[in-house]
Amino acid sequence: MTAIGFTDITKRFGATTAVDAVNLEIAPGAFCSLVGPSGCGKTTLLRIAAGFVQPDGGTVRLNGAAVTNVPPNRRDVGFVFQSYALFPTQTVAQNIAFSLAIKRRPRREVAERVGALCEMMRLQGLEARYPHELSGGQQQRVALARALISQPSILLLDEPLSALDAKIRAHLRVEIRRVVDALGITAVYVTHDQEEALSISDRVAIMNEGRLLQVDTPLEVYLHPADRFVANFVGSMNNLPCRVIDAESVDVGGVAVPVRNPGNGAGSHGSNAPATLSVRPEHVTLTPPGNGGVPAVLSAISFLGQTVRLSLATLDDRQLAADVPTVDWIGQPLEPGAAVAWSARAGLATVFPGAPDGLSSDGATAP
Amino acid sequence: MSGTPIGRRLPGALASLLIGLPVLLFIAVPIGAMLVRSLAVDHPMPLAELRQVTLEALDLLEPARREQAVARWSAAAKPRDRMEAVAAALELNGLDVPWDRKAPFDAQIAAAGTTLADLDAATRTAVEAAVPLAIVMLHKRIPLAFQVRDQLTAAAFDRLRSGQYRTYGLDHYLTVVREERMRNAAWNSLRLAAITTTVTTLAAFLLAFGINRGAVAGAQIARYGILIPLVSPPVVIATAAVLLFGRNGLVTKELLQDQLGLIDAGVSNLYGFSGVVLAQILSALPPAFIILDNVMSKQDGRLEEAAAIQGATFAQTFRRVTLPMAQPGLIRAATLVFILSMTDFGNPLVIGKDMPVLAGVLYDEMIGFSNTQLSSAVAVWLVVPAICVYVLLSRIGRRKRFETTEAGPSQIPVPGYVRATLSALAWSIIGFTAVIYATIVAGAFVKVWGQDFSFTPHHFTAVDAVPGFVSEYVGIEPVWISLRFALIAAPFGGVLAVAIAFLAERVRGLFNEVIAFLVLLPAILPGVVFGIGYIVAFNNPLGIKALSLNGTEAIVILNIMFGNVFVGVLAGRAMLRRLDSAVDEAAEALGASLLQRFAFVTLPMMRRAALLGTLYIFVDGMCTFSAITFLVGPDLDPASVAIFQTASVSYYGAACAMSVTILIIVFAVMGGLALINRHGPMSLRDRIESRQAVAA
Repeated sequence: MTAIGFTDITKRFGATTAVDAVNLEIAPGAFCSLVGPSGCGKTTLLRIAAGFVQPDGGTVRLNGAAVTNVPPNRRDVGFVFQSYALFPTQTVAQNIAFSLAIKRRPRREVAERVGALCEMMRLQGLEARYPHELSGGQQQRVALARALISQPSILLLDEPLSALDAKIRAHLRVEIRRVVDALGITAVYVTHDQEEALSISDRVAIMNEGRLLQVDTPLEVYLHPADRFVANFVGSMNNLPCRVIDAESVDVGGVAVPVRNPGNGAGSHGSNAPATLSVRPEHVTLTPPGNGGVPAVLSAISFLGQTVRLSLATLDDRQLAADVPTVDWIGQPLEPGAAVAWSARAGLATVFPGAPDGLSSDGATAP
Repeated sequence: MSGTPIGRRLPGALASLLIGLPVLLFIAVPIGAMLVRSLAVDHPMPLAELRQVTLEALDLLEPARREQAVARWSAAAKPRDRMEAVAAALELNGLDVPWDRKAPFDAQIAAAGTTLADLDAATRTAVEAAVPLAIVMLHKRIPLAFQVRDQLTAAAFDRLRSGQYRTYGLDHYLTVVREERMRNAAWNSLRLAAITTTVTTLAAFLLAFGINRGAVAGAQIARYGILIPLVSPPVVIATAAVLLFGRNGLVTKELLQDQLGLIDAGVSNLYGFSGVVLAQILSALPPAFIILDNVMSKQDGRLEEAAAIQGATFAQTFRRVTLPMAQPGLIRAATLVFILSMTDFGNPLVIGKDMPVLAGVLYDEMIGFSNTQLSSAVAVWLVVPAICVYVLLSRIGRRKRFETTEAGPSQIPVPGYVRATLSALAWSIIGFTAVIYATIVAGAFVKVWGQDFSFTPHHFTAVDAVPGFVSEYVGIEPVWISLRFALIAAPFGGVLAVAIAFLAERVRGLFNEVIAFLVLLPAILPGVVFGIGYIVAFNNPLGIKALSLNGTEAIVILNIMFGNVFVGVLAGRAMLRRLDSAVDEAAEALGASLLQRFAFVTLPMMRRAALLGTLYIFVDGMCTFSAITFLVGPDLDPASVAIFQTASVSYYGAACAMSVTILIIVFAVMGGLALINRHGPMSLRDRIESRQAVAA
């Protein structure tokens, strides 16, 4: 039984389609991130799961039961807001206890549960404070405690850390994962920060323009992107024009490069169809010229600390970034201007149909 | 010059002085003068002092004239005056007055004669010698005072003329508690205010909640509909209520009495408490709504969603989250309505029948008796309860505002019954408002409401063709007078507002902050207070009669301008805070002087604030009357005062005609400005700014 099931969910706001026929299933106890750029529909999808927004089409199932018409106050989910949404007229303890106070639980039970959660979220001593007297990180922990006190089976988090600075973010995201694991609940975590998603999730779901592009483990999404957008959204990526030779190799500047084919039609157009070769900088290998690699000229060497980034200029004036661990670079005699050849590690370069217009090769997607 | 520290600050200091002094003069001084005057208590002088003062004045005359005057006055004294002089002469000589001072005058005159006859010779001589002086002292002080006026200071002149001396104390304040008619009036005022405040605040809150939560159908139009009465001339609502529900009202007499025979309109009508309550609620609803609409629009909808996702129903969310967060706004709105109700004398006068209210007492004392002292004290009394209420309620809440910049309303739909109720409430209020305005328009064209419903355009024209009414108001002349005032006050006020905002935000400093604060005072004090202050301060400023402004056009224009400049200042400050001060600094670095910076850099950017300030002064200048009603003289007839006076003597045709004209003018001006804003160069800048904001 899946914990959360979206079937053909569609939502339009006026002329814009915010969510476009999304199908997604999340297993119980899994930590799934919804990632994508601003406006991709991830927050809308989450709010549909919570019941704040009614979809125009499709159904939502929570723990097997269809809840599309069930109002939010009768769904067994917890929700953590980006802006924390703590009640400013109530203390920390009152905020956390809210869902129990609504159900009129006996005072002793409430006090016990609040105490337990304060301990779990390290909020001891702050119970009598008001939200405006807390730091951002403390407020977020209160919001989390408040969402968890009624022991929901599902926790929904809408960019909970985006209002905090980087150090606290890195620290809190681990803590969120730890708490969710300890309680054994299913979590859906919306974020636009792909590094955050990759680091703490069991599954990553990439969305763009309302559509779900790929759902996979972080490693799979990183190494084997299913889609040109996913490939460029996560991590850095080189994109070079090439021509299809067959299902497993492409022609780059006269040289054959082995590729993996995610099966979206790159090879079905027949030979010589224009395509895009996408390979991450750290998967580019340098070979001495004449060894079967694609010829290029080393145009610049940048020392980035842990890695050295080599900027290669291909013969048709394209830029290619190749990252080499610094320890492996020490002692290399290559200088800018040297002629080199490059290839891609087996199985780690991907081919996508169509030319790479609009995509650059220095690791960033052009606006 | 601009190199030295003083040189850099000099232009700013000069500007602050130039702008600050008028503000001090026309805002702080009147309010202060009024407070001082409220503490001034006049007592009749004791006889000995009266005699002294009279003697001193007589000494100022040439001996010959003095003898002549005293003899003349003494000889011309009537028997009664002589009798009183005898009594005074007896007292001055240390003797008791043996006859009953409350007896009929004939008896007293006879008794005076016998008393004199019974005295021994020496005493009688002394007493009779004192009689002439006593005659002058008691009855001829005024002519004497005018004869020696040039040789007296203004204070001495007043003292001689009135025969009173002044001390300072709280007597007038205590009068409100001591005199029964005042206590009665105060009780009525408090009762009115309590009910009006409760109903209005509740209604405004429900409307604001409904409109901001999408629970009211046609929310944006509803918002405008609710706010329209803001730009009304005075007592429009009360007048319409009388026309509809009065003794000859359309609903009460024509419909319910004549057609349906259900009631006797002479008995069951809206005059009295209920009429005033209705009028006050409808008048106070728009300002209360503005406050609460502002609060509700800034509430973070995520909080209501957070409550819902934790299991709270709509009712539970409303009670535990929405209401507590709105509390500071509710307190502010309630305080405002309380003040508006307490200081309202227009509605009670038009529709209040015989119900005295404290504000009405104030009006009577000022207009009828020119009793500035008592009126000032009553004016202060009017405001004190509101301030107490505000302070008390503020202690209960914790924070002043719960606002968020990234707010949006909750997306959870409101339950059906709530939606139905709030929509019905909103649209029935708007519908009633529409009926009111329709009634006013109808009243402007009806010959004699309640008796002769035939059409006439002559309430507007200069031809007095309405039988049975004699009035000095002919046509709509007063409207043009008001228009002139408003057109003069508005642009000056708009520029002044922006200048003050500029000084407060860019030049800064304590003095400028004080100026900005002073400018806000007329906003929180009722118009009555501001009006009385002007009379007290400028009737005889510094004892120099020549500087007196009372009864002139200038005082009205100044009052309009300084009483309403705060809107432009607030808007200007808010705008300046959002604009980058670096632009101003860049101009300074390029060599622009303070004046140039203001004129060429700041003013163009603050066009919207200046326009808003100007518009507000214009509308208020056309419509407000509570301050101005005390400032106008016999030659001066602004429409707002004329409307009030015609309405209070039941000459409704004229009142309605003038009201309709004012409404047309005001709406035309507002509409024109809205059009300019949408299509003018200003909007282009707005578009650019908004596009930049989106791209950021």
